[in-house]
Amino acid sequence: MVGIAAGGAGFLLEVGAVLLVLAVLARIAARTGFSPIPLYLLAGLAIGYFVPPSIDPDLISIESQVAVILLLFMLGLEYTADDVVGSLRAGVGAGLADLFLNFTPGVLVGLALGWDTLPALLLGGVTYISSSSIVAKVLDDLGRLGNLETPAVLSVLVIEDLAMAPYLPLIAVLLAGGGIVTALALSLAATGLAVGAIVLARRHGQLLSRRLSHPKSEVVLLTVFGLLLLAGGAAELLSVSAGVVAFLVGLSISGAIAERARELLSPLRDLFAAFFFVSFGLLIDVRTIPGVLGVAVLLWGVTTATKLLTGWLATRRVSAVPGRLRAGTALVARGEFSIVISGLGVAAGAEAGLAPLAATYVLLTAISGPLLTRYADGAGIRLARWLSPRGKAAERAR
Amino acid sequence: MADINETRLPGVGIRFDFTTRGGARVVVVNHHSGRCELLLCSEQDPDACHEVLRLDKEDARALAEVLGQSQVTEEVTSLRLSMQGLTIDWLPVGAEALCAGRSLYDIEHKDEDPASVVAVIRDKMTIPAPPSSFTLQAGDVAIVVGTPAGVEAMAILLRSL
Repeated sequence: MVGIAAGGAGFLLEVGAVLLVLAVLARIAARTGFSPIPLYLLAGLAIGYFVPPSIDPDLISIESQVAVILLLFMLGLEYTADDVVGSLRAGVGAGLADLFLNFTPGVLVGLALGWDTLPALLLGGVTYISSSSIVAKVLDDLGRLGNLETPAVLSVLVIEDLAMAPYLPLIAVLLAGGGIVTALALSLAATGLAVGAIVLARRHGQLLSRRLSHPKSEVVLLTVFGLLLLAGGAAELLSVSAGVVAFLVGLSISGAIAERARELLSPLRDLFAAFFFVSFGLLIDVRTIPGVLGVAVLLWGVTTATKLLTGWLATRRVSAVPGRLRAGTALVARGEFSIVISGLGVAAGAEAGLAPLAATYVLLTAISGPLLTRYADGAGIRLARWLSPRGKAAERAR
Repeated sequence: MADINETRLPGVGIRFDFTTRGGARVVVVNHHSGRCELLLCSEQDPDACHEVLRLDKEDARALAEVLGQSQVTEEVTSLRLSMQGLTIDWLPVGAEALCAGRSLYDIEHKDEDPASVVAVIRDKMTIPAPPSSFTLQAGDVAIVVGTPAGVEAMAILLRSL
């Protein structure tokens, strides 16, 4: 009895202390206008190095699973089915360019490091996907939501998030040791499910939304959260990633109930996600980071350039040079999903170098991305002047 | 009237823009959350714009009112009478309303401020004194009596979220 109580006390003390540290970091992030994600990662690294906690690893893995489900569900909620269809229609070319330009460097670097194909594919995912949450927040903070290039930037984000529907199941099956045929079949199935969910949501979204709604908050909270975990569990049984299904559930809910669910579940998401980022940092041995720093910086340099190019291509029809530069730099930040993807690899015990490399890479891009785009305005105007023939002549005359 | 362009901002809301007769490009970003921003395109860089005003739902309504684009329909449907601390109002049940399909008992017991549904108009038929097990449907008009705060709360409940 005493032992249990003491154990309980230890657990509460540890979790409470970690939460308070995170609260301080979130406060700093809010004051400086930065995303708290890199700070949470750093906190995890530091805690793991100085005061390794005794929390049960099983508990961490369950917590991470719930965090991934909530992260993807809330992302799906942000988009309506019409947003998705509109983005696909407008930005499929840019989306493909984005995939090619940013997935390839990760894969090539992974292979060059002598990794197997699978961890290399994971690293490709890490470098491919920009952080929707960081980018959306930066655009809002910098007052760019009204800009002409912004719809194109947001479309790129939607397509990237949507690409997770075939990608995550593919990776999950391959990690579990399944054959490539099964993996491709499941990946196709998930894509079909996504299309089905979008069509259903466009036609009958109101129906589901009405069934789920209730004036009492707790009823809505318990229904939605319960449904999510059930759907996630069923998906895992079929080894289609739980996160993908959660994303689809989020997509298919719209209107009033989506608003309620967002209100009710975002505190839960914040709590679980914060823990998730910290625990990802906890799992990494800080001493392995100097070894991957060189590669991470190289990858950062290359993929910053490729994201710039992506943004440039995505907005070349709607915007002038400064707008294109703003779009490209806005996309640089990687974040939550890069961590989710490498977390999958860590859970399956693939390639020890992946986690430290991904963490370092996310830290670099998540911090530099928002800074780069902040200064893109001035740089863009100068670049435009330099590029225009008259500007060049003026420059020469001087 | 100037042509108004409408662009979706996935995950954010909708962006509207138009050019005034004076040549200024005005942009409005309407967030899903109800927040609203009024922006002006900069002359140096026509792709970029700078924020002029940030408005919440109520502010936006007030501004629209002042500018003369008053939400006429809403004003007309809301025919409110007040006497001696009691208010009576005819409230339509919104198409997406949470309370559609809920019983009057559920609805009346959601808020602390008291208000009751004393009659319901459905398909031009009036149902006086509906029992508390009566369920509302989208398109119904509820006749609500209560304190002004209670009726206001009920109006919000019946309208949508």
